[in-house]
Order: sequence, then structure tokens, then C-alpha cells
Amino acid sequence: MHNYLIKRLLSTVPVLIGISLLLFFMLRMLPGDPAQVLAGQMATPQEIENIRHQLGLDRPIYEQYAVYMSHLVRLDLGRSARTQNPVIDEIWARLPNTLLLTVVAITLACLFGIPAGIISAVRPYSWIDYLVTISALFGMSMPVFWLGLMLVVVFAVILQWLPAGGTGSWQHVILPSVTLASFVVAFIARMTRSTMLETLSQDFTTTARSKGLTEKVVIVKHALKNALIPIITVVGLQFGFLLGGAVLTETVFAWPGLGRLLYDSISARDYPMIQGTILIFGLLYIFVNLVVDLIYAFVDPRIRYD
Amino acid sequence: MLSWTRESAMTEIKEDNVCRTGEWVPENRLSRSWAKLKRNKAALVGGVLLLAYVLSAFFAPLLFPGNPSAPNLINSLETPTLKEPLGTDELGRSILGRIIYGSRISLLIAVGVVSVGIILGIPLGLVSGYYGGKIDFAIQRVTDTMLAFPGFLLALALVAVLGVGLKNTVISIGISMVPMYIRLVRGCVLSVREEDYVEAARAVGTRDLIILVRHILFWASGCSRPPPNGGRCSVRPGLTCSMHHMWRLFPALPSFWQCSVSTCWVTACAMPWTRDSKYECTPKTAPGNQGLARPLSHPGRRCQGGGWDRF
Repeated sequence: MHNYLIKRLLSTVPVLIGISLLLFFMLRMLPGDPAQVLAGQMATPQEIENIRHQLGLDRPIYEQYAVYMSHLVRLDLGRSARTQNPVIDEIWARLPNTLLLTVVAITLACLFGIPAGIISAVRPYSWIDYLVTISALFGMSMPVFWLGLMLVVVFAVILQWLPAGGTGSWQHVILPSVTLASFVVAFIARMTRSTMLETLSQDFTTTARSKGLTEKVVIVKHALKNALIPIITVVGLQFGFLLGGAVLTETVFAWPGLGRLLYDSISARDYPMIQGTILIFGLLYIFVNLVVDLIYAFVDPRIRYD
Repeated sequence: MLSWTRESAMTEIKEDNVCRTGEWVPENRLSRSWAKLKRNKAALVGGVLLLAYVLSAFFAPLLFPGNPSAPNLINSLETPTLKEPLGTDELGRSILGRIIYGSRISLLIAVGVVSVGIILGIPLGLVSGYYGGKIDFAIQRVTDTMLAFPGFLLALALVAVLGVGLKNTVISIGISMVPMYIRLVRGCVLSVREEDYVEAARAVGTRDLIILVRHILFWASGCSRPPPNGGRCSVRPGLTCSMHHMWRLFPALPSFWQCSVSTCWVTACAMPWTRDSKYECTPKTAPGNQGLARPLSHPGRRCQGGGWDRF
């Protein structure tokens, strides 16, 4: 397992190079000229040309990539074309917000989703199962920005219990994380239900019951443990998605996170900022997937990677 | 011991073929599935919803003659009436009509996207989980790379290369879904490949392809059911339309609400319910409540079950 871990950590480098290479050429295929965006509608061709020269966009593309990589190996992500601030500073300022929101949302989702899924699998087609199923359908089908706005209307405007947006205190985290968790909790509950139904119907569950184990032990130690693999996969994937994709929620709650930064950078064709943000996403994903793979082996000791 | 096991398996086969009412169910797999499906009320409701959705999408021009996008400003922002069950939007267009027309595109996109995801994702996930080692390592690192790109950017780039249009939308969303399928399938295969019956199949010299398809894929399909992208993707065009209303017209909130929720509701509702009947099975806990799962997803299991995975 140690060898595997070392190999995985070493493989981060080629994966990041792959991401940077793909991204670099992909960005330059997008329609839209960053120099034009920066210069504005009224700019003369000469002004645009100057900006293009400043950004180094007038050089051949492979040369641009070489320059970019030579900076990257010195851990220099460059400066934002839009704000002129170092990319790393802007990312660093927003990363804690994104992590906080994601961790709280995923924790909430697991705390509610897994027990809900277990209960509805243990009592399938009972009223409580239908309740969980219908709530899950609501959670999956409600657009996040709409749910976010409704939560703001109810809890910030009418009841005035929680702030409507921004950051600063623990109260600020509640509404956006509940909004984000609403979808994930539904997803996790459904996944838990279906995999638990599968394991509960298997022979080892019957064996465990016939050995005289209590129902609690049968459900948690035998059925749930064997149902965990797909649940962990889903939690890991959703964790990654939330790290990079909470643009709508961040917009509704004026939450200064990475998703919004990336979205704004893409709109402005701010190449250095997009490249920096996505490299960070890549790192986070590699890390999340590594942790998920290690948890697999922990949950199911038969799984080995060597 | 072995004979006893066989005998108990035989008895179970017999019992399996008898419905609770005592009537005989034909041996034919399809008719048996249908008999089981009929007993599952939830699956039936889901099936009817889905059928209604598909039919209304198919027959949209008959249900709503005329151009659904043509503005009719005199009737703008009307509250729901009998003639207009969901009211009208700010340009006086029937919201129900627009939802139904929108659902045609949504349905095509949903089916297309999930197909792309399945066709590319499942084989890669199977191979990655089953063979492990270098192949797994390589496929997973490519997956890491793809996951790092937000779907939005990937879709934007693919559309920039391929051009706009329904087909390219499907391809680009589908490709951005592939890594998710790979991870899901691989996770399940990792643990299923360690099962005794897989080892047994390997021991008697079954070819890898057959093991992968007959023994692992069918078994893993129970746990790695596809995520509900069908519902989510198909909501997307509806979303853009509703978001547009949202920011512009706060007073139109009720009608917007009906628009988005009913779109989401119908799609998200129908899809999981039918999926329920396809992937979930509760043979022992709730005898009457199995849909197509047993007969379709584990066809060969009982035969192996006689010897290998019973005890």
C-alpha cells in the first residue's frame, strides 16, 4: 500500500502537466479575444495590439506555453489579466471560503442522507420510505438558485434570523450550505437506499440474522458496511463538484468562492486566472480521489491496489 | 451438504415461479418481468408518468398547435386558468405549451447524454476496476484530469470546436459526464471482482470478456446505477428560461415557479421511479415489490447460486 501511495503522489505531476497542456490549448480555441475584452468596445486596433503584446498573446502558442511552464515550475501562476493581482493571492483568498462551504454542505448531506437512506431501505414502501423518496425528489428537482432565493426570503427577509449573504460569522454559512446540501442529500439518500436494499437481501444478511445478531448490528455492520462503496464514490464525486461548481449558490449568497472567480475569469477570458484556478481544482480532485480510493481499501479489505 | 444445498435451491426456484396468489408465471423471462412489474405499484406509476411525458413530447404539435415562441402581449403574465393551466409568461406565451415543447429537446438531450456517458464510461470503468494495475492507473489519471475541468468550460470548449447544435450539446455534456460513470462503475467492480463466483469463473477458464459482462457487469449494475442525470440534464434548458424570468420579473415568480418546478418535477419524478423498478430489488424484505431487477440484472445467478454463492 505504501508503494501505491507513493506512486499516486508522484503521478500528480504528470496529471497536472496534462491538465495544463489540455487547458492551455483549449482556452485558446475558445471564441473571444482577451485583449479585446480588456480594451473594451471603443478601443482602437493599436490599443488592442498593445494589450496583446503586454499579455504575450502575440507570440506563437508553443512559446506562450513554454513561458507559462517555466513560470509554473517556480510555482508562479502569473498575474490576472483583469485585476493585475498575482493569481495565487486571489485563489488563496477564496480557497478557505470554498472549502468551508463544501465541507459543511457535504457533512450535512451525509448526516441526513445516509440515515434517511438506511431507514427507507429497512422499511421499504412504508410511509417513511415514501416521505424520504418524495423529499429526495424535491431536493433533486429544485433549482439551487431558486431554493437559495426562497431561503433568503424566508429566513433573512421575513424571519430575519440569518444574514442574506456575505461571509464573516458561522451564521453566514448556514443558508448557502443548506442550499448546496439539498441536492447532495437527496442523491446520497437515494444511493444509500438502493445499495442497502441490495445488501439487505443478500445471503450474508440472512446468515447474520440467523446467528441471532441484533437488528442494529445486522444493519450497520453487515448491510451498511457492504453498501458503502458506491456511497463513498458518490460523496467523493459530489465533494469535487462542489469545490469547483457552486457558481449559482455563490452568486445568490454573494459568497466569495472559487466557482464564482472561475466563472468571472472565463467570461473575461482571463487566461492566467482560469489556468491557475483549474490547476487548483485538479490538485483538489487528485487528492479527493486518492482519499476515496484509500477509503475503499479500508472499508473493503479485499480491495488491494498493489 | 451439497445435495441439500441443491435441493434448497430447487425449492426456491419452484417458489419463485409462483405468485402470491398461487397462479403460475411463465418461464419466459420477459413475461415474468412483466408480471413482477405489474405488482409493483410504484414502478407502474413511474412508468405511466414517463409514458405521459414522452407521449406529450412526441405529440406536442397536436396538443399545442401554433408556434410556442410566438409572443402574444395582450395575454402577458396571466394567472393560471382552465385554458392556460400554468398561466402565461411576460410575452403572453403559454407556459405549459413551452414546457411541453421544451421537453422534446430535454428528452433528446437526456437520452443522448446518458447514452454517451454509458457507452464510454461503463466499459472504461469495468476494465479499470477489473484489471487493476497499470491499466487502472492510467485510466484513473485521465479521469482525474477530466474531472478537474468544470463541465461548463469543457462544454464551452467542445462547442467552440464542434460548433453549436443539439448533437454537439449532447456530445459535450455526455463527455463531461463520462468520468463520473467511470468512477462509479470502477468502485463497484473493485469489490465485486473479489467475490467467490468471479474467482470460480476464472478458475474454470472463463474468458475475461465473459466474466466482465456476465458475472461482474450484471451484478455491479445493482449498485452502480447511473446517477439521476436524466432528470438534471433535461432540466437545463428549462432552467435558462426560468432564470431569465427570475432576474427580470420578480412579480412573475409564481408563474416561474410553476414553470420550473413542474418541468423538474415531471422529469425528475418519472425517471427515478422507473429506475427504481429497474435496478432495485427487495426479494426477501418485500416479496411483491420487485420490478425488473431480479430477472433482468441477474439472469445467471440462480444457476451459479446452487453451488457457489449460497454457502
